[in-house]
Amino acid sequence: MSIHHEILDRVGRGMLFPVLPRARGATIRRALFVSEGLHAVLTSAKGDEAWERRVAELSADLEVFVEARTIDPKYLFLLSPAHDAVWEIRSTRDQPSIRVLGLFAWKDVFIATNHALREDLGGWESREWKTVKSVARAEWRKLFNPYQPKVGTDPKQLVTGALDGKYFKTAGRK
Amino acid sequence: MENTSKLPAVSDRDIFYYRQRSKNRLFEALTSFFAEEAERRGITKRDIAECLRRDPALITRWLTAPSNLTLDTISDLLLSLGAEMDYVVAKFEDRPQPNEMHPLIARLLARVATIEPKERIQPKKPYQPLTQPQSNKRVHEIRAQ
Repeated sequence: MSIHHEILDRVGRGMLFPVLPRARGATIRRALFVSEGLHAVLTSAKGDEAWERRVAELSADLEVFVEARTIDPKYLFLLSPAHDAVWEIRSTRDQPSIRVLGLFAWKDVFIATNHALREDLGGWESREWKTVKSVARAEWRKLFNPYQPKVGTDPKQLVTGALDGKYFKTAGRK
Repeated sequence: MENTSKLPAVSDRDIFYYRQRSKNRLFEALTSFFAEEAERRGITKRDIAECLRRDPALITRWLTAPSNLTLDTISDLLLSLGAEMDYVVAKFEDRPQPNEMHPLIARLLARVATIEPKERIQPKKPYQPLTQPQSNKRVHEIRAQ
């Protein structure tokens, strides 16, 4: 079985959920699948205005990966260490800022494993960051072991339409 | 409040979603156009800043996040690059189907379409909200679960 079959199987089991644009007729250039936790947020019950706004903005921001012709490094970023292959999608448009972590199963196929509020994470070498990255890797193993995620620092190998830029913070430069 | 309009009511979530979607699409159009021009003509943010008599840091800020843009700054940026926005209103009913779809998603949707609802594997733990969220604290609650 290929990892594509595994993904379809996990979707069938309700362990992963595809992000499909809410807007009718929107182009689906890339595939994004979210875990149960993130799906629960995106499909949560109606809340107050602040909640509705933030969930809607997160939803629209995730759809950028699915629909946008180009992707830039202010949106998608490889977390250190690169060999762990954990990336973040940044939903920074409004407070609270949210980071969605995940790994690439294949070019243009991203598995969003977990998420965190940026304000809870601290500096980029903090214990909290290490924890959420560990959770991302553990979730990947839970879903796809023994399949490995795509590893690489060149975004063009992983995402169609990646603009030139800095997608990875090199060690020693904070 | 009862909706007496000839138009169907729109939820808050849809309102906020389409606002953000609109900002994101506009931002993508701008950043990709700037990237094309940078590659084709070697134009930098500093060139734009000098052209507009602005601080280069401001140009960087404009091109960092959709929320930093206004209609005026969009016009300024494009003018400096010798361009302007061209608007077309698209009705949802005129675009019922995506004209491009990732093959994995196409397979997934084809598979779902051929399975009777009762035959689909149900999630082990379908999501059920615990309580009606009262505030933005729900983000913290769900993250902690």
